[in-house]
Amino acid sequence: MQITTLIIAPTFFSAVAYIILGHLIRLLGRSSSLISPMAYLYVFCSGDLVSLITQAVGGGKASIAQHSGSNTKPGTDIMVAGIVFQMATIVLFVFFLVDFLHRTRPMAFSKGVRLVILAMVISVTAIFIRSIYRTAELSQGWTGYLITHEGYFLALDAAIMAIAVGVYNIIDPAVLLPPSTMSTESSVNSKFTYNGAGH
Amino acid sequence: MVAAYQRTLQAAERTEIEFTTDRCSMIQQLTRAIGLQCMRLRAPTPKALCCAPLPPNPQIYLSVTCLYKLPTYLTCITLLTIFRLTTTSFSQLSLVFLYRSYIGIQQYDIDSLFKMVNNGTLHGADVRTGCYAIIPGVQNNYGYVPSLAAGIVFCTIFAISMAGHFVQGVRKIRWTSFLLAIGALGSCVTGERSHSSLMRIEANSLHFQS
Repeated sequence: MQITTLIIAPTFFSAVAYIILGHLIRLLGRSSSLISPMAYLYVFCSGDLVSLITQAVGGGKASIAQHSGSNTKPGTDIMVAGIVFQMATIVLFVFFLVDFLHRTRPMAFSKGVRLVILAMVISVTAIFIRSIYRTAELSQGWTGYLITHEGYFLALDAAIMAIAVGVYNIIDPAVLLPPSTMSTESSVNSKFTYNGAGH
Repeated sequence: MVAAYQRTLQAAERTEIEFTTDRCSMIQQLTRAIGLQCMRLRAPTPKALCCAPLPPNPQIYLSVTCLYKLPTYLTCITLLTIFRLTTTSFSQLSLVFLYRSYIGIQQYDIDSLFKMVNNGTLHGADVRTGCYAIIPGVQNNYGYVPSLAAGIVFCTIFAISMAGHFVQGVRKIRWTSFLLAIGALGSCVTGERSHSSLMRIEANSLHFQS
């Protein structure tokens, strides 16, 4: 059961990466990315949600099966499918991230923005490494080599996740990134127009 | 010894032999009071053997457990609230987990459990789900005895990170900080692994090899 929580927690970290990238695109202009900031949120958060639900259903099935002493394989297979889907989502995100970095290469950033990009790249790399480890681990089954050796878990899951979240403690996007005035203004404007239209 | 254990287990799977030691009868009494017949020796697999052995030093065990059970408990509530309606199996899973983290705090303090039963503060709790014993030669769920030190270290790291992000979230009103805080809280469960390492016991305390 701890495994389920340990699977869910990193999706919060990747969600933060999506939000930060969306924020950066708003700051640096729409030309810095293939897709719009909101598209990141929709595409990747729904991708995460799908993989999360798949893994939760699989994990629940496997756990109940283990509890009642029956075969855990169907549940485990569903879980592996969810993890593979999560990895695919991250691969897609890495693709867009690389594209973003390539497009913004000639731009001059402020120091804060540069640090935040660095932090995000570190965090995403960590999440990516962990996702590879998790896929390999569970595809070997609950009694496979990787899952039964603690060193791998500590190095490739616990420590890596500590990096993924700790890097934001040191380089805090909440401090370094200016609030995206554009988006708040536009949302306020649209709210006013909406209200005006309503009355 | 392991063979004897396996034999007992096989016999137990057929007939559900009950524990006969003093402590076990006490626990049986307790579980009957709670309303579950859970202390019957009925292990689904040799990996997940259920029993209630005392840790080497219950006091230290309890205080350490309280420390890292709290984040687990909070995570459960958070996640349960978020995902409650998504799938039935997940809700079931979370409930079992919630029980575990709740019971985990008191599970070896039999006197306080008795008190809670008498007070009426403990209802229908599944004492069975919280207790796993580590038998030499028989694999537990992980296939290794988790390192207590590593569990505590990582739990502390994630707790510090969580606190930091929570403070930032409140100060700057940024919900990315809250997301990070929830994630860090969830990762605190790494510490839960050390839970299993605390329950390492000698095989003879199970009174299996008569």
